[in-house]
Amino acid sequence: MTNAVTLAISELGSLITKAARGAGLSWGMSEEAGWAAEWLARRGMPAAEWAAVWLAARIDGAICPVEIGAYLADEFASTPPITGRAVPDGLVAPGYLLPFLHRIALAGSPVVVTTTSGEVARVSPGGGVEFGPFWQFHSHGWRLSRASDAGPRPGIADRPTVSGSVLECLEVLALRTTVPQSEASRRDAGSSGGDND
Amino acid sequence: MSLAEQTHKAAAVALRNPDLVMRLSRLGSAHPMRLSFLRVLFRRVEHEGWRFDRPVWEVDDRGVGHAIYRARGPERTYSLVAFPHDLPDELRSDRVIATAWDATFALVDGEPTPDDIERLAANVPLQEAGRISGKELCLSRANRSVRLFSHVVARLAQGQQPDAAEIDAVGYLMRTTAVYGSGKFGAADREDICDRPELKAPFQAEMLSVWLIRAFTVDIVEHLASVRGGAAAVRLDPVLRRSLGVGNSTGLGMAPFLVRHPALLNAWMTARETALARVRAVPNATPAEGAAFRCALTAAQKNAEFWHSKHPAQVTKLADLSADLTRLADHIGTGWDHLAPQPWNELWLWGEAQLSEEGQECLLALLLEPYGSIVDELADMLDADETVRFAIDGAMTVGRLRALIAKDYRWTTAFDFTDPAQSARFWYVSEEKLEPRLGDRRAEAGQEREQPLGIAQAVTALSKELAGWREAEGLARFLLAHPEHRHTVRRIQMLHGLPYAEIRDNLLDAGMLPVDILRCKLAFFGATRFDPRSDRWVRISLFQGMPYPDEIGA
Repeated sequence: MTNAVTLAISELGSLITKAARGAGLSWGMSEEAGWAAEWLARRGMPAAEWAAVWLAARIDGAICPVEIGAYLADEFASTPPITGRAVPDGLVAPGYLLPFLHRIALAGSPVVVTTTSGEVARVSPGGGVEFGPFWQFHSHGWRLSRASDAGPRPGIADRPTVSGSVLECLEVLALRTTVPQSEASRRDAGSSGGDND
Repeated sequence: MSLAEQTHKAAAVALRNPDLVMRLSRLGSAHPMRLSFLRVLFRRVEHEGWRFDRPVWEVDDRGVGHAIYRARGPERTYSLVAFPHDLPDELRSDRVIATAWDATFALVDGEPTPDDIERLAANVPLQEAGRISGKELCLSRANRSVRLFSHVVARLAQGQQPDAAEIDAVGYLMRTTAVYGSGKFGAADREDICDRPELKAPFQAEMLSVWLIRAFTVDIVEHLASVRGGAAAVRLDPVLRRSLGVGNSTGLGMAPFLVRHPALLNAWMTARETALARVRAVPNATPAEGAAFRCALTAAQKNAEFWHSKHPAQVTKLADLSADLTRLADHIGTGWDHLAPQPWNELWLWGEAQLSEEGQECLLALLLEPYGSIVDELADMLDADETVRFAIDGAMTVGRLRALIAKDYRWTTAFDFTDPAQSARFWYVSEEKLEPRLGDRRAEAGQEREQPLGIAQAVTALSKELAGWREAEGLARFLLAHPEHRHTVRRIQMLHGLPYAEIRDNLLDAGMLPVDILRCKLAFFGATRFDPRSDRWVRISLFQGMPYPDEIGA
């Protein structure tokens, strides 16, 4: 197994894009996944670890937070009222919703996720995130609304260090976007002559 | 009144039509010019008085060790750490599948500590199999031109200068086979450094790496000659030294970049086309400007003379270029009236009617040469924020998207994707080295893993799907039903208003030549002596004829 590796942010985004595609998402949705991973990593959140979880669930047929987040943003980014909008239950690694809630927040005011018990998380138009006491690793009874305050301010994080096991999991999925070597691909890729000239 | 003011007052000249400019055959005729990235770097280091030195040269008699080349700008220092190796001939390959090279390099942000050197020595020689850190901006490697390298070492060791004809035939001692930056293999993210003025224009860290590598290539031959010849050895004659560039050998890995970075491509092309329009609008040509143009034309004719290729398509292009340059020189001498209003526009219009695409694109480059005062500032336009409009506007209606396609992607209707020849190819990434490849859809496996680079085909498919939707329907609902079109919808929304963002050709066509894409990108780098070794593999030269760092500021 490989050791933990510190990745460049763009390197992580590129890896998650490929892994998402390898897990069966469309190219456009895979781009969203890569973008979301970079957004999370820049805020110090475990983007690679969360991705490994939701990608595995997605392969098993579960809906994923990137698809839900993107659809929510498509629907509500230009239409400020979102109060009462429900998030599907059972989303794993729902932190991947946060970048898309930021897109919705950009339309005006912070987006707040609540349950009947209290606040789960809030995302400000400036891109800050604040986790509430009811943050969980699965969505359950989550609803969206807007707040009127300025919302949390974004912090600055170090580059993400990803464990060998998570990296391996993501790389295996990313490899599903590649084509095994053939004689033709090797032959056609290079010079028709040698390189010792 | 300044030239810029005169030009603004003169009749404006429109930018060229993207339907003309963005065709592959024309992109594949691009020439390096004043706004090429190495020229931008070169002007900056000259203007800002950068200082260069080589504080470390710890290389043994076999030519193995490490060296440091330091570039000190007004605010920051960058250091190229070079690791020369003793590579057996049988391991030398320019392909990405290679695992060893004649020399490997890292460009460090600042000055490396002894710990950094130790870390880099353990990783840089491994290239893709190693890791660098956010303190490094680039990772690169180079192989010798065996014939010329050996010839130069042997001659210098004997106290003689190398044969100028041998140097002209090859043009470089070593050629880089990859220069990675922008977060690759752990390097600094572009986003973290792009606010620095010296790195704002594209590929400036990469260009600095290659320029310093060029200095290293001469130092290593002189070192080996000295080892072999002892007191009899001599240094390379400055004129011959100047005539050496640094080569680059590259393949398909570079091609998808221009498709994946359309906003950036638009920025490059817009800057260049704006430069051309400005020069065409110049009201009068002064004698000095006329002389500068003639000087550039003479240099282009000389360059064409030494520009060799055995690739049939390039042989034809080179013949066209030579004939065109002769015709242009004749016209300048006899038919062109430099006293006429907007004389450069007259010359350009003559060129459009009389010259091949190769000749026209060369003329473009030549026209910019006398006009640094109105062209060079356009280097500030060469970068682009590629995150703008990444988020899809789901409130846009199907009708509006159709209108955007009709306006911006009319060019895609020229292709018929029911014709197997027009979708004969597919782009994929090889498992072996994670590099782009181009496959034959009928003969090769893997098309289910096709990369989304067939833009014309994707837009055609999207248009067909949209036909079944109501005009007033929002795209959010359409994309919920058709996530497979999300990539294309984003692209269309993102690129509206960026006329030079798309290569307006079919990149899946059986007759498509990937080297055309490579040439466009390499011309923006500032590459000369474009020499295809197949329809998807090319060698070029960089910095040939230009000063070395130690000639600018020692």
